[in-house]
Amino acid sequence: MLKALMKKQFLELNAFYFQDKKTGKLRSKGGTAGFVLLFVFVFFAIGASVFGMAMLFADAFLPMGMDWLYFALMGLFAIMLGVFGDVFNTYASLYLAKDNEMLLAMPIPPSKILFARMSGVFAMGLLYESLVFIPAMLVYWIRAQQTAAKILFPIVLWLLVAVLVLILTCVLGYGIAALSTKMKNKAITTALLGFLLFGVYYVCYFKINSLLQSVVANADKVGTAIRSYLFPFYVFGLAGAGSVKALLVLVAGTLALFALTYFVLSKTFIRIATTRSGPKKTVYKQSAMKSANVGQALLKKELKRFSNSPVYMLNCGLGLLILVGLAVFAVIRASYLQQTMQAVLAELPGVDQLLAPLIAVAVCMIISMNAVSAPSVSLEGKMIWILQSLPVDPKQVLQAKEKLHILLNSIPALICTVAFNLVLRTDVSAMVISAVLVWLFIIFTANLGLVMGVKKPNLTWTNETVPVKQSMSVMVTLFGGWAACILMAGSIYLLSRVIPVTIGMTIFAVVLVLATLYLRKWLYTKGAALFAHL
Amino acid sequence: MLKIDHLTKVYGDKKAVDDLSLHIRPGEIYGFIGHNGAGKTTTLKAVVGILQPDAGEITVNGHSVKAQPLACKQKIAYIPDNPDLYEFMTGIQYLNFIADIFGVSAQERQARIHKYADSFEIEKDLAEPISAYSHGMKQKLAVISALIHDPKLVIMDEPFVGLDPKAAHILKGIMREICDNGGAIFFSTHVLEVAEKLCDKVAIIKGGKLIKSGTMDEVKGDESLESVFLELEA
Repeated sequence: MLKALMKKQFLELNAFYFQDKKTGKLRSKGGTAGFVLLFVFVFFAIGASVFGMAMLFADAFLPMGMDWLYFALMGLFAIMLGVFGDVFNTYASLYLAKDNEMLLAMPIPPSKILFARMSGVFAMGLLYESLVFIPAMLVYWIRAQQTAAKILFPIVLWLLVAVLVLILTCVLGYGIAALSTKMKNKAITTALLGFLLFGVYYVCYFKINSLLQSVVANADKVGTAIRSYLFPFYVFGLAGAGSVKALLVLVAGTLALFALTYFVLSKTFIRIATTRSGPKKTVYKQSAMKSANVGQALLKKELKRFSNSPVYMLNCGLGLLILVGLAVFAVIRASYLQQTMQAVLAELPGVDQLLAPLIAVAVCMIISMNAVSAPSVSLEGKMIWILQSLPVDPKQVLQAKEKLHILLNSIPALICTVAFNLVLRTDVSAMVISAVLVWLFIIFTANLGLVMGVKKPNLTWTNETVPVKQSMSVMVTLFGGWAACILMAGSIYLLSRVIPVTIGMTIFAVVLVLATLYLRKWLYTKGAALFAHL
Repeated sequence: MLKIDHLTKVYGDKKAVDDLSLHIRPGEIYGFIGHNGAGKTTTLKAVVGILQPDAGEITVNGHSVKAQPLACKQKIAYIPDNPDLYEFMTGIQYLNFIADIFGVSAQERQARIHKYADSFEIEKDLAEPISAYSHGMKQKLAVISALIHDPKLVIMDEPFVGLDPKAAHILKGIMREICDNGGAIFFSTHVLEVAEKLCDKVAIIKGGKLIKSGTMDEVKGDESLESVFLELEA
């Protein structure tokens, strides 16, 4: 029975390689092979960068006789990556599995269902932590003097890390399950967490080298901190370095923790797997109602869709935060930017004339990422019958989608444009034209996204990630927008050789107006007629 | 109220609806029956302007659905077979949205929402997001949203699927009330007993073609609607 359950669990896990989640159909042999190859490539690419980090640590710590610190740090990274990668999988496969009720209705002890599910979580955890721990083991075997303990103990640790990841993800997954049933503004919270993770990722990405150098340079302090505040990792490090006593303590401790986790979960599994307690129900109380006109109602509907979808907000709204962040940066670091500009001007005299168009191009490139209008037609999905059967002109529907794009983009983009122009002291007329250029570009991308949305709709999705992340309309708006930015930069630069930059910018503004008018004409005639019967 | 003249709709090389003509007068509950894939939903979608016919003419109160779609839709309410509603809205937000589109005044919408939500016993759930609704609750919300602008013609595709017996009973009462007030109902159903008891007239469609229509007595005579339907389908 357990064998059958495990087989099912691993089939489910591996379905990723054989099945296209978008269509639900099996991939072709070539497609599967390509997918597996891509996965292996990604695994090796990440492993190679971890290998470099491990080399740095090994060369710094091993000659100092601090082998334990090497393992403590690599173990910590492995557990962090394992937990980070596996926690949402745990949440979904342990607590939200669609077949929980079906399996519970069969004559299977719940502890066995749980064991099979946990084995899947263990396998995923092992995969994630291996990205760090396998390169760490390899480096240690290359750099350290070999003894049987130093070869074998890291292998035991590699498996123990996966068990620790399993324990931690089970506990955290339980926490997420409990939180998600209580949370009210799930979409906003998820999107904010997403933005935060992006932020942390980029900070780590840019700071990782200096952070690693600082760890290496302060090995004694880091070692003392780990011994004082993260004692289990000290024991972990000692075990990796060949201490039998530490290894036995670690194995015993980990297995005891696992037994406790398994015992608690198996006792509560049925309740957890079958409870569907959402957040406290809000009871509707009658209050005075407000009416709105058709345009306002449609715009409100579009805004509600945007603010209720973390996927939509994260993928089409991230640039809005970047624009605001850049504006704040420009104001706070004004003197730094001015000094940098002085230095650039000393090297490249005359570049100040091109500052305003450069600012406009940079802002426009970020605007291209905020393709709010592009997936909005496809996002109607199976609900499109509502708008098609209501007495509302398709033009008004498309206008609402266009308006939302313009409203969301305009304020952050214009603030960012003006902030950089003021800080870098560009000419007032150039600043005004660059702001106008940015605003026209927003309208252009709104229309480009909608035209593509109507021409290439996908209304049969079951997960809104498909229209938001994988649709033709979003791709064309993003890359088309960037192509337009390159065209803008190139043409203004070339024109600046023969006419003043502001005139060049004005000419490009006229080009943008003409392109937008062309798109709008199609959208509000043929596009609207198409939308009515999509 | 509703006139369908020689409606034809083709998908690829298959005629989903083939030269179908029907006339539904004020005060009539008109049942539309046929097996799966007979062309019922296609006909209903063409009536509400979601699908464009390949041939034929549909008029609502004398207005052409093709030439004056908004004027027609202002009089119509449509309840599809599968109520895919905006799950990012709460029930009350959805009803307000529909009322805004139809230009229903604040007082009128409040009164109608209270009346119908109370009847269907979902008033207290209106502050909940639609994503948390069961299929039946979504169906009830779709019905309420369809009635919020006091429509003259209600088009329903399998309206009783997913409704509990009490809600189905209430809906039948509302249908009769609409017709008593001069409106008309055109609905498809597979539940022949309901059609037999509720409808003033009935039309049977097979392979996109109308094979029989008229008053209930004209269609079934002394037999049951079920036996007539099975005979015609054979």
